[in-house]
Amino acid sequence: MGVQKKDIKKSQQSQPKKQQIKEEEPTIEKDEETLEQQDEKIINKHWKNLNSFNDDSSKPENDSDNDFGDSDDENVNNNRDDDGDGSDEESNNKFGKKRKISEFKNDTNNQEDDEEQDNSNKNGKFDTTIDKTKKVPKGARKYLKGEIVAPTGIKNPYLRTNLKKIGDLKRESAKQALKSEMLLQKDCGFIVTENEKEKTYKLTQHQIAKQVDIQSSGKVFDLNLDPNGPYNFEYSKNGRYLLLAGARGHYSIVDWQRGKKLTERHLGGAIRDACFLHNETMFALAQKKYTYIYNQDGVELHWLKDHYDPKFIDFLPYHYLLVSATNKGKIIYEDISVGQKVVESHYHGPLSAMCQNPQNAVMNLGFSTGIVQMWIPKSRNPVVKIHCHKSPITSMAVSLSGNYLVTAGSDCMVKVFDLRNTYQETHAFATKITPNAISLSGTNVLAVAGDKQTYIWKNPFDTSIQEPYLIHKNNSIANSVQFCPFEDVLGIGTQSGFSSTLVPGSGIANYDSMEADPFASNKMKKEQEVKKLLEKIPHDMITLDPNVIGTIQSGVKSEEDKFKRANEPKVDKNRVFDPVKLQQIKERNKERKEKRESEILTSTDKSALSRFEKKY
Amino acid sequence: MKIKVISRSEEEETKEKASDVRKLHRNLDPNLHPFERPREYVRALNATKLDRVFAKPFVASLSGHSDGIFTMTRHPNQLNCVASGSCDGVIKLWNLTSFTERTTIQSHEGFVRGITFTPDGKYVISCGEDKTVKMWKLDMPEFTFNEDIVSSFNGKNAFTSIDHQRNSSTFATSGVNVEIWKHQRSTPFQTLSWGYGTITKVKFNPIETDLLASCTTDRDVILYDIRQNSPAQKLTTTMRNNALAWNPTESFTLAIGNEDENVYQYDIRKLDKAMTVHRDHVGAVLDVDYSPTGREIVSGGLDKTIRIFPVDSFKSREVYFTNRMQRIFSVLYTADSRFILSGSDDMNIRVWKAQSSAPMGILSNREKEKLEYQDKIKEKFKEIPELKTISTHRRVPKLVYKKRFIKNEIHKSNMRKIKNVAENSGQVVKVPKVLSKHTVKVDK
Repeated sequence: MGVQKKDIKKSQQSQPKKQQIKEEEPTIEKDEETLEQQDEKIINKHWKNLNSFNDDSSKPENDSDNDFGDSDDENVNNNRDDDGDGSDEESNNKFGKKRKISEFKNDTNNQEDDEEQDNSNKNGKFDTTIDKTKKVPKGARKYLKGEIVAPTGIKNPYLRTNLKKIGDLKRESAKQALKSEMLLQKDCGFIVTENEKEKTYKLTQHQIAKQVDIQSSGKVFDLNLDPNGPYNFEYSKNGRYLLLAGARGHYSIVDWQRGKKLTERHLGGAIRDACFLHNETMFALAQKKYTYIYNQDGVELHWLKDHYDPKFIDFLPYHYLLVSATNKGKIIYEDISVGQKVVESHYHGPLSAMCQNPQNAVMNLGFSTGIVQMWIPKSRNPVVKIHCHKSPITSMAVSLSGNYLVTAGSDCMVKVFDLRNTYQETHAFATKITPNAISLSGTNVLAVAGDKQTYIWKNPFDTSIQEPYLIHKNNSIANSVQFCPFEDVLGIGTQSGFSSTLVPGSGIANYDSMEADPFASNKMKKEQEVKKLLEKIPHDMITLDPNVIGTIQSGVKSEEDKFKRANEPKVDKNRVFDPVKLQQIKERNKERKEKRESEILTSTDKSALSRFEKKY
Repeated sequence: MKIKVISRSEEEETKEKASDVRKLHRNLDPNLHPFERPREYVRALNATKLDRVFAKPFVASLSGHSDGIFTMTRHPNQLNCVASGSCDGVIKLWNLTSFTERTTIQSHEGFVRGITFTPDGKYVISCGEDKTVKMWKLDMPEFTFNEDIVSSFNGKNAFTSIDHQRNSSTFATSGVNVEIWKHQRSTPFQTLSWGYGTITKVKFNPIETDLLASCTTDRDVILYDIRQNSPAQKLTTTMRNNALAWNPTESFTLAIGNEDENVYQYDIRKLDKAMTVHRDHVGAVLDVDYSPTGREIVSGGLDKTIRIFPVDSFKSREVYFTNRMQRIFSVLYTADSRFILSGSDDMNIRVWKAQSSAPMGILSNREKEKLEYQDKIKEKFKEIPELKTISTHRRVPKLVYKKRFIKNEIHKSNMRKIKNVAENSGQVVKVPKVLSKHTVKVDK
C-alpha cells in the first residue's frame, strides 16, 4: 500500500509540471536531434510500407508531413518521469528513445521473455537484490511467482535458509509449470502463405470461411438489426455468450455459437454501454439516465440511482466492482456482491473512452484532450496521466498481459505505450481510417475499426510491422470491436447491426476451466460463482502493481540504525564548505559565547555586590 | 494458402460418453490467472478466519476420580491407554477411544505421586506418599488391573515422582534422594544426591537412556548419569522448578516449568543460558510435556490455562481454558501428538485437540489437499498485520488478561529502562534476548 501512496504523490506532483514540459517543447537540444532523426527514419519506413501495399479502398490519405510533426511533438510530451528539472527530463527522454530503438526492435512474439531485462532496469521501490546466480530456464520465466531474492546480507541463519528454500521452491515450481505446457492440447489458428506474393490482407471473410471446417465457417455471420444501431456489444468472459446493445434501446443475449437467443427486449430509451457482470446471468446497461442491472431473463434487478447519466460502464470481475463513468464527471465503483457504492471520485474533462487493465484492474479513462488517466478506487486523483494524442482519444485497449496500452486517436494514429515501468510510447503507426474502436485479443492481435473497414494487425507491439494481417469491410460504419475470448473470432458492432468475423490466430487455444470454461456445466458454474465470491479482492487492494502484497520490503531500518542515524551530526547537503570560512565562523561564535558568559558573570557580580554595598 | 482456426466440439471438450468423467482443462499461463497474489491473500485471510471459526479444541472430559488428578502417563505402545493417579491414592486406566474408564484400583494411602508403565506395557508402577512403590500387572486384552500386587518396594521416605528407563527393568524414584531400582530387587541399588533439597521430579532421557534429570525444592536442576555413581551437573535458577521434560527427538534439550511463570528450554551442553524462554503463563507452571514430534511443548499451571508453545518461539500458539477447570497439575500429549490431556484439581481429565481447528475423523484426499494448501498460504501471509491479529488473538479469562497486562507493563518498563540507560550513556541500544536472568549458577 505504501508504494501505491508514493505513486499517487508522484502523480499529484507531476500534474503542474506537465504543463511546464509543454511549454518547453520547442527547446530541444542538438544531441537529441540525431536520435529524433533516427526516429523519423523509422516512421518514414513505416509510412512507406503502409503506402506500398495496394488497397482498393478509396480512403483519402493523411498528409504524411503532418504525421511527422505530430509524432515529434509527442515524443517530447510523453515524458512522464518528471521528478527533476530540465536536465533530468532530457536524460529521461534519451533513455526512452534508446529503449525504443534497441530493445523493441527485437521482441516480436514473446514479450514475456524480456521481463528479465526489465527487472534489471527497474529501480523499483522494493529493490531487493535479485538472485541471478541460479538461472531459470528461459520459457519458465513467465511462470515465476515473484522474483527470487538472493539470501545475501541476512544475518539470521534461519531466515537465510528459509529464503533460500523459498527461492528454490519458486524455481522448481516454474520449471514444473513449464513442463506442464506439454499437456496443452490445442494449437492456435494460423494463416500460412505459400509465397511472399500472397498477402493475407487480401483474404475476404468469404474465402476464409470456405477454407475452414464447417463448424468454424458458421461463425462468420452478419446480423442486420437496422433501425436500432449503432450497436455496442460484449462477449462473456468464457466467450460463449454475446450481449448486444443497440443505441436505440434494443438489447439481447445470444448463445452465439449455437444460435440460441436467451433474452431480447426493446427498452425504448437509449443504451450507451453494456457489460456482463460476473457471469452471463446478470448484465448491466448504461441507459440514458441511470445504470440498470438486468438478469438473464430480462428482469430489471437493480436501478442504480447514483450512476446518473452514465457514459461508459465496465465490470472488474475479480473485485466484483461495476464501474460507471458518467457525463457529469463522476467515476463510480459499485460493489455488486453487496450492492454498495464503494467509491465515487471526480474527473475533469470531456471523457471519450474507457477500458480496464485486466492485470491490475486500473481503469483507464481517455479524454478528448488526448490524455489518458489511470484511476484506482483508493485515490481521488488519477495515479498516472499520459499525454497520448494531440487529438481526442477514440478508443483504448490494454493487452492481456497488462504490459501494453494501445490508444487510437481521431488523428488516425494508433500508439502503443509501455505500462511496465516507463509509461512511454514505444511506437506509433498511422491508419487509413479514423479509428472508432480498437481491441486486443488474447494473443495480442490488434483490431482497429473505423468507418467501413476493420484493420487487423498481428504483432502490434513489434516496431517493424508493416502491413495489416487482415482487412475486413463492414456493411456500415463500425462502432465497436471485440475479440471473442478463446475463439478466433472478432465481433464488430456497426451502425446496422453486428457482424462476426474469423481472425485465425487471435484466440488463446487452451482455456483454463478454473477461470473461464466455455463448456461449463450448470453445476460447475454454480460452484465457480461461490468460489469467486469467496475470493473477492477488496477494492482497496487495487494498485498499479497488483503483486505488492507479500513481497519483501528492503531498506527497513533496525533500531540500531535508527539510533545511529539520530546521533549522526546533521549536515546540510547544500552547504558549501570553505575551511577558512568555517574556522572564522567558529572563532566568531566562540568569541560571542565568551562575551555573553563574561557579561552575565560580571553583571551578576556587580548587581549582587552593589546591592549589598548599598545596604551596608 | 493454409488456414486453420480454433474449433472445438463440445463432446471432445467435456466428455465423450455419458459415463465419462468430465474433462478439466488447465492452462497455467499467468496471463489467464490475473491477480494471483491478491487472490491468494484473500484465500489466506478466509482460511485464517475459518480457522478461528472452527476452533473447538475441547474434545471430552474423563470424570471418575474423586480427588484432584496429580499425575498422568501414557502407555508405551497402546495409543488409547492412559493411566492417571489422584490425590486420594487411586489409579485409573482410561480408554481414549470411547472416553471410558478401563479399570480402577486403590493403590496408595494419600497421594499417588507418580505412575509409570514398564517399557513392555504389561505393568504399572506407582509411587505414593505412603513410602511405597507398587507394581501392578495388567490383564492383557482389556488392560485391566490384576488385583494382586506383583511386587511392592518400601522406601524410607515419601516418594515424590517416578520414571522408568527405556528398554530395561530399571526405574528411578525421587524423594529425599534419587533412588534407582530394579524390578527384581526390593532395595534400591543406587542412591544419588547433591545438596539438601527434596527432589520433586525425576525424568529419564528417552534417547540417552542413562541420563537422568531431576529438580529439587532448593531451586536446582540436577543431571545424573546412572552409569556413574555421582551426579553430573547442577543448574541453580532464581526460582523453584516444578516440572521437567526431555525433548523426545533431541537428546540434549530439556524443558523446565518454573515457578516464575515461564517455561525454559535448556541445552544441557550449555547450561549457563536458557535456549528459549516461553513467557505467556501468568501463574507458576506445574507441568510441561513435549509433543512426541519434539516440535511443541504443552504446559499447564496455577493460572488454570493450558498453553502450547512451538519450541522455537517465546509466544504460545494456543491457550486453552474452561470455566470449570481448576489448577492444572499434569499435562500430557498423546503418542500421536494429536491430543492433549490435562489433569486438574477439579477431578476431571480433559481431552483437547493439539490443533484447535483440526477436523476430527478420517479425511478424504481432497480435504487433506485443501487443508495443506490452506496451511501453506496461511504460512505465506502470516506476517501481514490483518492476518496476524486474527490468527493470534485469543479470548482469555479476565484474571489472566489483567495479569498479563501487568506483566507486559513490567516488561515494557524494563525495556524502557534499558533503552534510556543506553541512550544516555551514548551507547547503541541493544535489546537483550532474555530479560529475566534465570540461571544463577552452573556446577559441574
